[in-house]
Amino acid sequence: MGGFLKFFIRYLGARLIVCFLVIFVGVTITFLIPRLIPGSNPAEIAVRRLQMAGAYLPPESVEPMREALLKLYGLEGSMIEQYFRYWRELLKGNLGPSFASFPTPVVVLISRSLPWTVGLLALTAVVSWVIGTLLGGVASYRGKRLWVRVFEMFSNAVRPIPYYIFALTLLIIFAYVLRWFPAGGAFQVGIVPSFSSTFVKSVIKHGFLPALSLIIIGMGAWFLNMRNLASGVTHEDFVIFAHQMKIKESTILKNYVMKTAMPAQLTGLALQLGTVFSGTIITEIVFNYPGLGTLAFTAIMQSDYNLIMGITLCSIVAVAFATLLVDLLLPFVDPRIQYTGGAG
Amino acid sequence: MSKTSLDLQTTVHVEASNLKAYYLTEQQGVMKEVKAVEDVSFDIEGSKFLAIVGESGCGKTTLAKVLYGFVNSNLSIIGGRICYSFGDAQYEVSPTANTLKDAWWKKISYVPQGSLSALNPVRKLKDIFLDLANSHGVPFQEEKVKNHLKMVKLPPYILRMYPFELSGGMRQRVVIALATLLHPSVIIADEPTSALDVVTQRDILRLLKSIQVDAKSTFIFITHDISLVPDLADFMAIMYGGCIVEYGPTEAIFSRPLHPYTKFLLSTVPTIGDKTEKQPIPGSPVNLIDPPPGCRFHPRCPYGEKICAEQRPGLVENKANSWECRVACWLYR
Repeated sequence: MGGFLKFFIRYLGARLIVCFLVIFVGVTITFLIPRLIPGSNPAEIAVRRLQMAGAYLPPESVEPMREALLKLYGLEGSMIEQYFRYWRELLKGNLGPSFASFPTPVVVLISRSLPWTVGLLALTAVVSWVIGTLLGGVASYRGKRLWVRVFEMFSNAVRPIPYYIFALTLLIIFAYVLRWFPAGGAFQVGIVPSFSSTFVKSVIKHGFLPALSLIIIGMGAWFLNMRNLASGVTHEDFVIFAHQMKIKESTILKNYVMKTAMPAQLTGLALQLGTVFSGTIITEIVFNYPGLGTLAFTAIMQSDYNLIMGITLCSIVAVAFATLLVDLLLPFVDPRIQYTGGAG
Repeated sequence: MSKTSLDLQTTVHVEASNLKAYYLTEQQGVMKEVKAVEDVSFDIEGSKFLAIVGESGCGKTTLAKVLYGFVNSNLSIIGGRICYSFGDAQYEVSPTANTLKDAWWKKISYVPQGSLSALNPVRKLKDIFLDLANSHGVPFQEEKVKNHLKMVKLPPYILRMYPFELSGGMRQRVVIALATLLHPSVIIADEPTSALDVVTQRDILRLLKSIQVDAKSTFIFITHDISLVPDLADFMAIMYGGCIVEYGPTEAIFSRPLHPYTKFLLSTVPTIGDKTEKQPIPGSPVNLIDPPPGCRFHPRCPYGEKICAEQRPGLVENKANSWECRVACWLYR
């Protein structure tokens, strides 16, 4: 066991280094990209916004105003200076103020949106993964049953439909025609967020349609994926031999077919959970759901560097750690993958 | 082992009569039949070791599957039948019935061709044994399994390991241990050693032979390597193009082969000190989709006569021999 621990620590160390390298590169790129887009200086945009609102700004006062704004936003000095300042602040946990909603800190904006997005997406990702994987595994084994064929047809039919059309259809049917669910928002306007039953009920009711749309689409994809993986496994020698040994069908399905197909599925799930932190713009726009996706969208439209970087940072860190998690978990799911890096 | 089970095992009777099994395949929209097993008959009684020898693509593996009743939508039994009687119970595989499945693993077991990949890679060996015991309603006793592993010369600690942590020979032994765990009376082994090196192969074959002798079971051993047969088998059947062309005691066939194909096969066995060049059999193996009419060997046979191309010879007893041999050749009529 001591040997195992040594290998594990060495493996973990190597993975952590890679993980932090990924975060470093990601942060650097997100730092550079908005600053390299021409005509997207946030100070200019703020001035233009004032002008568009009808305020008369004398030309001689525009320049000092721009400089004051740049200083306020923390954008003065050369790119290198900004870069180092950014890292210094980041390590202190300070993502700076949002430019568009100045002076609200980015951290506040993100923490306001994050729970909605993560709650919705993590839940739907897990639910659709569990259902899709289970059904896909069983379907690979009982390929000729009626329900399998119906479900397969359904999955294949849903898949090519663009998601926004599918989501809009759900919205029209359930929110406008049948009026079973509200058409938008995360909870009833006027209710104060708390752990009261009315609030929870309202959240469930508002989240139902976006969740349903994501689950149906996601489930179909996981179903087809798992069925393909698992039907490959059903032709493997060891499954045929298990049949010849007359091992119980349920055992074969669970421990021979599905368990072997699981590593690839789990990797997919973990990576999808990583993307949960960047939100889904389309879902949030269609269902008017207050998540990170819409926040990111407006941030990009308003050249809100700090907010863009804050949101991207979230998703970079989440994906990097999801990958790390996959690397750490896979040896438990598939014994052929080992921390030592080589098979027995 | 109790006395009753011994009695049962001595009365094992395997009888294949005119067995025909074809694969149905589609080629360019046309359904084709691969006539992999054609008119196979043999009969073994009691604890015997039967070797079925033939070249690649002659239908050996198909015959093994059919004998085990492992048929599916692709491979179907067109005619004939195979009967197993285990003293108290009869099972049969025929075009209309397949009751042999009920006897799988308890009375008849199978060692597959791809033995090295026959073990679940993500399951510890102990769990595989456990699955087997649970599925057959047998209590799992670790001590018994360990003793059983000792019998196939495997250390008990392998139960804690995964298949990929074992060598090829060890995996083969595990498969044999699985196949013999429930003490079946008939074991069909399909090329169990073809993926192993010669030394490991010899060990495994000795093991199989000793199991057959000790457990008084019946072995049907499929191989392409005729040189393995003499030390192992009591009886042998030579297969060519889906048919059994010669059948008899190993000794008889080795000392006096009758069928021209058998003669060719035996001439390929190398012996130490033999300096003569080995001659290949002229021509190429049978295309089982479109086999030649008459004797399937006639296009390659140096003694071919007119009748050979017209009518397929049946497997008949050869009177000229002092042993009980059967041969399917017009030369011996």
